[in-house]
Amino acid sequence: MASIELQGLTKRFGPLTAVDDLNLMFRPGTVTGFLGVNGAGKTTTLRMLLGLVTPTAGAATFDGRRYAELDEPARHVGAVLEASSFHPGRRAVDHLRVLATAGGLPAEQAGQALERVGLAAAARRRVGGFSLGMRQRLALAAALLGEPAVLVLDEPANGLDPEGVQWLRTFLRAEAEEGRTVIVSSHLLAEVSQTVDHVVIIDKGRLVADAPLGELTAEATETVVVTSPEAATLLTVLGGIGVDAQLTGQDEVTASTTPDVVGKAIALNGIVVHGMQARRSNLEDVFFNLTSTERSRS
Amino acid sequence: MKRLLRAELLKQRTAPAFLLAFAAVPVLAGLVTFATCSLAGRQGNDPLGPDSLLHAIGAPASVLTTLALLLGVVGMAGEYRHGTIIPTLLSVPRRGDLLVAKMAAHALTGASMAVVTLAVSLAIAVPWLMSAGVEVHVSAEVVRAAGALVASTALYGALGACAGALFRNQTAAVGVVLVWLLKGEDLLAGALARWWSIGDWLPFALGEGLVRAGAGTPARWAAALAFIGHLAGLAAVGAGVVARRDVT
Repeated sequence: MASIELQGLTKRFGPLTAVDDLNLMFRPGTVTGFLGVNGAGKTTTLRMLLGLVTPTAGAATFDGRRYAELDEPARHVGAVLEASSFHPGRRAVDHLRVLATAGGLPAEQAGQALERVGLAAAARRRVGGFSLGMRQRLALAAALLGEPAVLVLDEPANGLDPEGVQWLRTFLRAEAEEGRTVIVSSHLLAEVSQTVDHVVIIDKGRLVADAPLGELTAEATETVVVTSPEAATLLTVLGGIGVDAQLTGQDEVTASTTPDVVGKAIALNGIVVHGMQARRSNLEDVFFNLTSTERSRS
Repeated sequence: MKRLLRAELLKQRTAPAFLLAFAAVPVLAGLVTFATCSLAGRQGNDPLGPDSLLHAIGAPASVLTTLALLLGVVGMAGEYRHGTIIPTLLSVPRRGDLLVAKMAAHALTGASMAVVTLAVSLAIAVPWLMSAGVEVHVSAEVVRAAGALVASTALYGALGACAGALFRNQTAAVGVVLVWLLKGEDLLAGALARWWSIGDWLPFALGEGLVRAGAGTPARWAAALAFIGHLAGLAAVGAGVVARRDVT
């Protein structure tokens, strides 16, 4: 199965550096979440990977070959970049037949791909009448035409209904379990965290994190938020036992520790409490923590 | 290359607007031939005679070649309008191959349009002339004119694809090509007339000269070679632009 490597990948548009010296390896058999805020450089990176944008420096390769050097690329890589890349007057099946013909694939794979994404019933309909969700599914069908070893998906959940999102999640996991390399770019962090097993975060075109999801969230801190009319007393008590805590509201203390430590301190000191909530930071917190750290550095 | 050509032809066959334009060809050819025959001998036109068949064949040339040209422009620049350039380039990452396939497909389509036009023109003009008592003789010049119509329409189709490659915006592409066709060449020829007489050697004048060769215009073979030269030059520029353009 294909390994994908980015080496010193850089793109400048005039004075703007969209992607800055990215070095990465995407591994087969995993779903990698490629995360970043809007404008972070995700789409430009994926387009350089797929030969649509020429890098200013560096290279992106599939098993050592650039996308343009792949023989029959549709058999190696399937990509979903935009849900609007269709001629509105063309029928769904014809759109896929054109791509299958150009990609050297049997025309009957068009029908099979439509079935896989649940669009078989709409095969003869013109794409101009499709909803955004249907267009996303059609774009995915185009990516699957050649049964490629690599799937590159830019914001694939956009426009999908909850059922579609769940279907996509199951689908991507199944593809990775078959050994495929799946790259999913997204800004929907909560959604991605349910699908990916590896995370790459970029910010302002620079690599911020490249680690398994479990590793990233394991490093995450746990906090306890307590609502109490004796917040000031609780703050003093927690400080006395070496817990990092602060007042985060008039009657609210947030402590960087576990609920049992806070609970014990409350019980031993007879502090009145109106509410207590334990919170483990998730991918979203990790993301914002990492990107804000990067921003404060630059 | 063969599969890219098949894919491009399939694109044309599955786009309703393109099919509509192709369906308009026999209608337009019929109207122009009908007008040519019915206006003969009136409003200063020559009466029906031995050369009328030649005139009937050449009459739809301007409409036909312009249509082939614009279909070529839209076929290439339209990829950016609809965003289909992304799946197209993912299937065909070698961009030079894509442009060559588009040129070939539009040349074939142009040639097909010309064949349909000839069939319609002959189907109307031959019975018309015979009923008017004109002896219909398929001379060598008639055969040459018919061949030139097919060749020039094919070349216009390919030229349109090359011109379309220079633009991201389909409307701008069509506008610039039409302005060049209607005014640009005349203005350029006029501006340069003091030093060089190049009016007959500019692309669209050559295309016209291919079909309606006559005294004072370049010979057909010379016009064809010069037109192919323009086409090759524009194809090289178009390939360079397409290869360097970022699809963002």
